[in-house]
Amino acid sequence: MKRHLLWGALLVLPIAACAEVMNALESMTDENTAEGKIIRGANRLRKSFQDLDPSEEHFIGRSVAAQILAMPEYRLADDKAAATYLNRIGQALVATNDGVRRTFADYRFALLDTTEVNAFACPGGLILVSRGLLQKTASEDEVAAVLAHEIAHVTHKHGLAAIQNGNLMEAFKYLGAGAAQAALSAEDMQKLTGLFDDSVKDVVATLVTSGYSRDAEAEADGSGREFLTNAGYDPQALSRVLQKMDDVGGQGGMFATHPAPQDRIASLGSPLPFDGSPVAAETRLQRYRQNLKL
Amino acid sequence: MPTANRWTVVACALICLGAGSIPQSQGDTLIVTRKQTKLRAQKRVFAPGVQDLVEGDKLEFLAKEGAWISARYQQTTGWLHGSDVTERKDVRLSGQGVRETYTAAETGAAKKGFNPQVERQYRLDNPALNAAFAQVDALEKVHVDENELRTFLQQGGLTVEGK
Repeated sequence: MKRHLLWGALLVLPIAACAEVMNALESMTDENTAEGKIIRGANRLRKSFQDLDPSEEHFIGRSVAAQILAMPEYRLADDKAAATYLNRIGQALVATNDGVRRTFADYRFALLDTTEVNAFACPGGLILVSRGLLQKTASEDEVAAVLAHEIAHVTHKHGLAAIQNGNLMEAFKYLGAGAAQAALSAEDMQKLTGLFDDSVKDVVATLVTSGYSRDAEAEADGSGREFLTNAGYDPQALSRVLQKMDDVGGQGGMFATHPAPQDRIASLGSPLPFDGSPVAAETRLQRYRQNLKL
Repeated sequence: MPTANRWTVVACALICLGAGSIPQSQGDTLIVTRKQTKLRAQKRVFAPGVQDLVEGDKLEFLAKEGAWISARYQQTTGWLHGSDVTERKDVRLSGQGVRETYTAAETGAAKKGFNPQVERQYRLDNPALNAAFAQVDALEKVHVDENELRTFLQQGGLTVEGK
């Protein structure tokens, strides 16, 4: 009996990919048998933030963004030129990088009217950047560096990964469960909405208060620099923004939620070469000055 | 559970293990998971669009090259980014603008997700967020036209096609 349990346990861990068969196995087995318990346990283990579908990520992200925009300190700036410019830079990064994960309703970029140095990459691609952070930039390349880092957080699903496993385990009891049923009962809908609320709160807490792990930040810096380079921007632009943040220093916002700028610069490693055209750099600088009056 | 059925369960699990690692084959069905996208004539972002697609559209997988997938929608073939689609048949869709005909069971499963219905209830439970949601709606309407984007890239001396 114990040998079968152990064998079953060793088998089920790698089976993570096969959702349909796992659900079928669950319906074939009695939940009170050893096999039934193993299959059910493994099916729950299989479910993680990676199993949230693109439209679900989108709806979580909308609510995360709404929670942030409802905070008195994070109002949207009334600056159409800046908003248009940020969206052009952001879309330029997306379009020129096959490595950027496309999201359900695409990426959008917005300016927050606060001097706090901060940015929020909401799941699904709504990216909010503060005036305070953009004041640390001196060129379009440096703005692109900031946006590339945030796009990388979305690509790697760092926001979704903030959802506590406990909330997800509960949620997956309802998400897609019992496919033969036509609809959720009112009680189940209430439970699902509660779990949605808990999931949104987990993400907001990470974005606004605790920050991502050092590994996640390093991954976003590394991928961000790659996106920057592939788009044709200066790969050193990210290090320059980080250096300025280090020179000025500060408290709160990104200074509270991110690793120290010097540590991030060190993690990026050696500078990458850049042979961009000086004429094009001047064009980018002019449009930076025209569109961002910070 | 009798020994024979136990081995059936284990065998299914082994098959599942194998199936999970098999790459997509020609003829496999893919489901569009983006709200809207396009099949393009070539595997690049600014290639001419040959077919508009919406969430839930079912495509036939033809080939994969890097991040791009060649697929067929009805009679039209073209290319789209790999992250625009999934091979999972149990994907939960938002249901907004879906035009494919799904069975009642598939629709039922799709409904049970973090979807517009859940957001509607969430907003009813959190009326203080209504103004913020209106802002989110407005932000989602912002659109950068493809021609505008291509001009922006060219004038800035940036890469015009993807890497």
